[in-house]
Parts: sequence; C-alpha cells; structure tokens
Amino acid sequence: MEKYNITLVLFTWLTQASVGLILLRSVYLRVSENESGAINRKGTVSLLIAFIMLVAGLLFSFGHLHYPGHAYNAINNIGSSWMSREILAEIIFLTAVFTWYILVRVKIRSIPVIILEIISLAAGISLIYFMIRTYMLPSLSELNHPSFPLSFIITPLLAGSSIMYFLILNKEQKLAIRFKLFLTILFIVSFINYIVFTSFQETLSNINIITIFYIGGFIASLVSLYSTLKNKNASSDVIFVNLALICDLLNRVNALTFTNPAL
Amino acid sequence: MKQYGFYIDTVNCSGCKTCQIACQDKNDLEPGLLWRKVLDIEGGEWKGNDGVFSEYPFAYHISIACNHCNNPLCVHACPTQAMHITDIGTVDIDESKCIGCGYCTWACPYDAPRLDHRKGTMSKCDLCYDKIILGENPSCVDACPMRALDFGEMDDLISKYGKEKNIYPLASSELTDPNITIRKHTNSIIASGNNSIIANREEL
Repeated sequence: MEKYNITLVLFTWLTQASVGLILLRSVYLRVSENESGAINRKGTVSLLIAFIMLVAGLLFSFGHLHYPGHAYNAINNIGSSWMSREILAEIIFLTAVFTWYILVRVKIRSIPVIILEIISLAAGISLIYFMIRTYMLPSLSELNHPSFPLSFIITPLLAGSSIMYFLILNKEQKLAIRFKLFLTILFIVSFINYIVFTSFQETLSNINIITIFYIGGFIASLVSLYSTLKNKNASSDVIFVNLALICDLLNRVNALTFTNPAL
Repeated sequence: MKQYGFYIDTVNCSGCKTCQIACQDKNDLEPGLLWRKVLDIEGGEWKGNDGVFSEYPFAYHISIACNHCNNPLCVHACPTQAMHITDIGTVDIDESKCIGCGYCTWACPYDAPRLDHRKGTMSKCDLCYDKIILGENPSCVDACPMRALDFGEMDDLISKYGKEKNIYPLASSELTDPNITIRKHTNSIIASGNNSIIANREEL
C-alpha cells in the first residue's frame, strides 16, 4: 500500500476545522449575543473562513485521486460505502455553508438562516462521524482503536476554538480567554491522546519532532495560563494557540502516514 | 452459482515467484505492479542450553492474490461501485467507474487491489476470467513448477484439500470469508509477530 498522500491529510484537517468553526461560531453567537456590536461581522467572517477552508479541503481531496475524471461516481455506493456517505455529507455541508454566507451577506436574517444553520450543523457533525467510519477499517489496525476517532473529534474543536480566539481576540477579551481555556483543555487531551495513539503504531519515524512541538506547546500553555491568572496580555497566548494548531496538524500527518498496514 | 477459488500449498511452495511473473506476463502489468505476490516469511531464535547457544531458523512462502472473498470488504468500501462481484462470483473492477482513490486497498486485509499508474485506476487479479470461462486454469496455477497452486470450484477444492483458510501473517478469514484453502507449513504454526518478519516487504 502506498503512503497516504499529504493532500488527504490536508483535506481531513481543513474540513474538520471548518466543521469545528461553524459549531463554535454558533456557540459564540449565543454566548455573546449582547456583549458586542462586532458580533455579526465576526459571525459573517467565520462563515467565509469556514467556506474557504472547505473549498481548499475539497480541492486537496482531488489530489489523492488518480482518475479525478470519474469523480462524479464517488457517491454511487451510499448504501454501503462510508466514503460515499462522507462525500455526500461534505457536499451538503459545503452547499449549506455557502448559501448561509450569501444570505447573511445580503442581510436576510430570518427563518431560512436558522434552517441553514441547523442543516449545516447536522451535516457537519454527520461528516465527522462518516470520516471516522471511513478510516476505522478492520484491515487498518493502526487506526482501528478508540484513540483514532478521538483525534477526529479533538481537531474540529481545537481548530474551531483557535480560529474563534483569533477572530475575537482584540474586541472581546473575556470571551477570547474562555476560548483559550477551552483550547488549553483540548490541547492537553490531544497530547495524551497522541501518546496513546503512538503506542499502537509500528512506524515511529515522525514521533520525535511532534513530541518536541507538543512539549513546546505544553510549556506555552502553562505560560499562557499564568499570564491569564495575572491578567496580562501575553504574546505567549498567540504562540500557544499557533503551537496547538501545528501540533494537531502534525499529529494528523503522523496518524495518516504509514505503509502497507494489511501485510 | 459456481464459486471458484485457489488452493495454496505453503509446504511445497519454494518461493520462486514464477506465479508472480506468469501473472504479470499474462496481464501485461508494468514492473512493480503485482496482482499475485509471494510473501517470504522468515524468523527464528537462539536457544541457550548450559552456555551453548543453538540457532533455530525457519522460513516459508505464501503465494497470495485476490481471494475473491464471499464478503468482499473492498466491494462494500468502494465509493463508486467500480469494485463489484461478477456473474461467476469473482470480484472485479469496472475501470469506467474507478477514481483511483485506493480505498479498496485500505479495506482489503490482503492488500490485493493495486494502483495501475498507467491507467490511473485500481487493478487486481480477475482470476483470469478470459481463461476460466474457456475451462482453462489461471496462468499462475499452470506456471507453478512445484504444483503448489491449484484452482477450481471451492466445493471441489475443499473436498480435495480441506478447508483451512488461515495462516500467519494473513488476516483472519472471519473478516472476509476468502475463497481459498491452504496447506499450512509446519513453521507457520510457530511463526508470530514476535519471532518472524515478512522478509521481502519492499518487493510487495
């Protein structure tokens, strides 16, 4: 079996990040409804970012097809193929987010927008589930254990909260701190999950550099927590959030890069 | 419906790879593209007795291709339905639908479907469909100098050779119910992930 293509890593990561962003955007809008005049703008920007990440992920996904000309057949086997279901959910999610963004841009804020939000969230959560099932095959022992689906749940939340943190950092610091604390918990869970995951792997080539990044991220998270307790605006916050994103992406590269698992 | 399959004799197989070459020749496969492959399993250990150490090496070979399983995970997994079951019970690929995503390879515990780089689509053993409908054997079976491969209806193969389907390091037959029957090498009974390796992994 060939090594997994980096384009597949980017497809899964970007798609999951956009699902997480949509999810946390909904949480954010409800939590901060009366706190800032910038809410609507942030809501629109997050939709645009999610859409761009989805389109980029979709384009990357074509990179691992050796005959993309037949791609229209990819949803033929909805009845039994998790990959077909994943692709269908991706199409529904992307269409819903795009339509949602357009409606918000032209300032239609009524029932259709709420329906689109519900459709997007349902399609996004289904997409994550289908992605997990796509990779958890009996023949792939390196991925067929609970640590793997956990990583597919951590990524959307971690990436989504990171992007939301950057979006609201300058205008809603209290909320930004909440997102950062949530991110810190996710990062620690991700670190523990990474250690558990690697214990199932035979190929350990990428582990050292990822471990170094995780340790760096962990130190940055402690400094960041300290500065939060002291009510300081530390640049360590931004460093920590960036390191958390890098660690998660490297973790994905490590998870989806191995050779010949069947034999 | 008749169900065809392979008999694999790992006792007589010498690991010469003539079957592999015959398959490549008959199907005009590019170098490196293997529809049938021969695994070289090698292992052993040192045993100490009163300060004297003796070696206990072992080796055996398994010639394996697509097993045209009764429960083909590749068919279930294929998003395009390019992978399908034919009217004679073999598993085949419809190249006009295949997108070359490789998902069938991930799903197959025998690593049977392979990418044909020239076509950009997946490819695999078709049991020499064109030959067996004429009543002939697949090329690999006829080419084997050790008579370590046989082909036929599964009922006949089982009555002739028994119904063993499992051997280390192949995946458990419970996963896909492969249409094979195996004569197990005695060394395969002691082989495990701790004391043996697939020595020719880079060839596969």
